[in-house]
Order: sequence, then structure tokens, then C-alpha cells
Amino acid sequence: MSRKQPIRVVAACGLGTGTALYLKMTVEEILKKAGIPAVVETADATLAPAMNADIIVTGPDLAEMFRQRGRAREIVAVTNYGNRAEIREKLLAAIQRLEGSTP
Amino acid sequence: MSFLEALDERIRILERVGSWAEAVRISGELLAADGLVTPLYVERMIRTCEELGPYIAIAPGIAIPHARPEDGARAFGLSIVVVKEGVSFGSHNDPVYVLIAFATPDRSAHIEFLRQLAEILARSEEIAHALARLETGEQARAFLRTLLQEEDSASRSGEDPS
Repeated sequence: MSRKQPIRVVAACGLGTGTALYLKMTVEEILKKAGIPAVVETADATLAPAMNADIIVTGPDLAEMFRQRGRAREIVAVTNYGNRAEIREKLLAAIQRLEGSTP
Repeated sequence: MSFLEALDERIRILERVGSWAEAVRISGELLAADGLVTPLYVERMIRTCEELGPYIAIAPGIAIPHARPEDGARAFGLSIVVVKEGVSFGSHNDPVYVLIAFATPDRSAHIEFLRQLAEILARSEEIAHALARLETGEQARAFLRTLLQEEDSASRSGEDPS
């Protein structure tokens, strides 16, 4: 998988503090191991939909809201934040869809 | 600051609670009693969950109640409330047995804490059930100390290569 621009990921939670930081750390580790260049930022529920991101990673409740009004091309909904395999699988699938749709 | 340093003596083990909000309030009051947060912070911990849904139940059996730094967090710290009978948050990860509440006065990452939290969440069901079988805060702290030390040596000896 090669791309010129790093993928822009937003890790979002209700407040943009605890859970989002936790997700950011996890997502950065996963993408680093996968050798995928990425810029990962955190955001709260209000800010996240307005941000210029390729992917938003968040929980199932906010994911539904972001799908309806977000600008991100892919929304990844994580059910179990302790399950790194779940996060990795969903994130890499979203990146593949992005790669497929890139003009 | 490590998980156990941030936790200090703030562990409460309860048989049952009337609602998730009561459990969150108790976790917040443990922080407030030690001056880590203001009473407003405790109110905001509950309101956040009411407004934004049960997303704080982030792994099977475990929730992490918190509010924003500007809601009245004075110092970094944790508290743990164990509900032996479990409590429903209306989440995929119900029933919740363990609430790990935290406060942080800034948005810095507290990497050591997050790394240890990740270790706990990775085995959340097993750990939640184990904590729910204990009777005292001392037992819970001893359990966590052993767990996190074991995890420390395990993660030094070999990381998952994928």
C-alpha cells in the first residue's frame, strides 16, 4: 500500500479527552506497525464532524451521528476499545476502501 | 504517573447500585473527596453520559467516567468503583462491573496511564469478573499491582508482531 499523502485520522469521543486520546494512541501504534503514514488528531463530538479527515474512529453511538453529518469519507465504529484486533481490522478495511476510491 | 500511583487509595467495592448514574457519582465523589476535582466535575461526568450516550462503557465490563479538564479537574488522578452485581449503561459492553473514573487538568496524554489502561482493557472481561469477586479495596489494589507488574514483564519480553 503506497500513498503520497499521510492518511488523516480523527480519533473522536464525546469530550475529546480520555477516550479520544486512548484511541489516538492505539490507532497510531496500529498504523505505524502496518507501515501506513498517518496524521492522527483528537476531537470532541462537536468538532469531529467538521474536521477535514479521511477517517473518523469513534464508538458506535457517535459513529451513527457522524455518518449522518460528518465530512469524513470513512467512519470506523469501535465496540470494544480493548480489542486491538477489532480496531486494526476495521481501520485497515476502511483504508482499503479509501485506496480503492481514490481517483 | 503510573496507574497505581494515580489510583492511590480510591477504590470502592459495592454489592449493587440503583443505576449507572449512581455508580458514576460515587466514582466522582472519590475524586472530589481528595480534592482532585470540584463538585461540578462530578455533575458533568453524569451529564456527559446522559447527553452523548453510553460510550464511556468502552470495553466489556468496564466504563471510564470522566469530564473535561475545564469542568473542574484540579489534578491528575483515578478512582475505581467495583459493582459486584454489575450495572447497565445501555451499552454493547453491559453489564459493567468496573468503573475507572479519571480527571486530568490538561489534555496531555499521560502515556504511562494510557498504556496500562490498554493492558487492562485488552483483558477487560476477565479482569472485571476477577475484581467483582473481591471484597475489599486492599484486595483489589493487590490484584491490580500483580496484574500490571505481570503485564509489564510480559510486554518487555515480546510484543505481538502483527
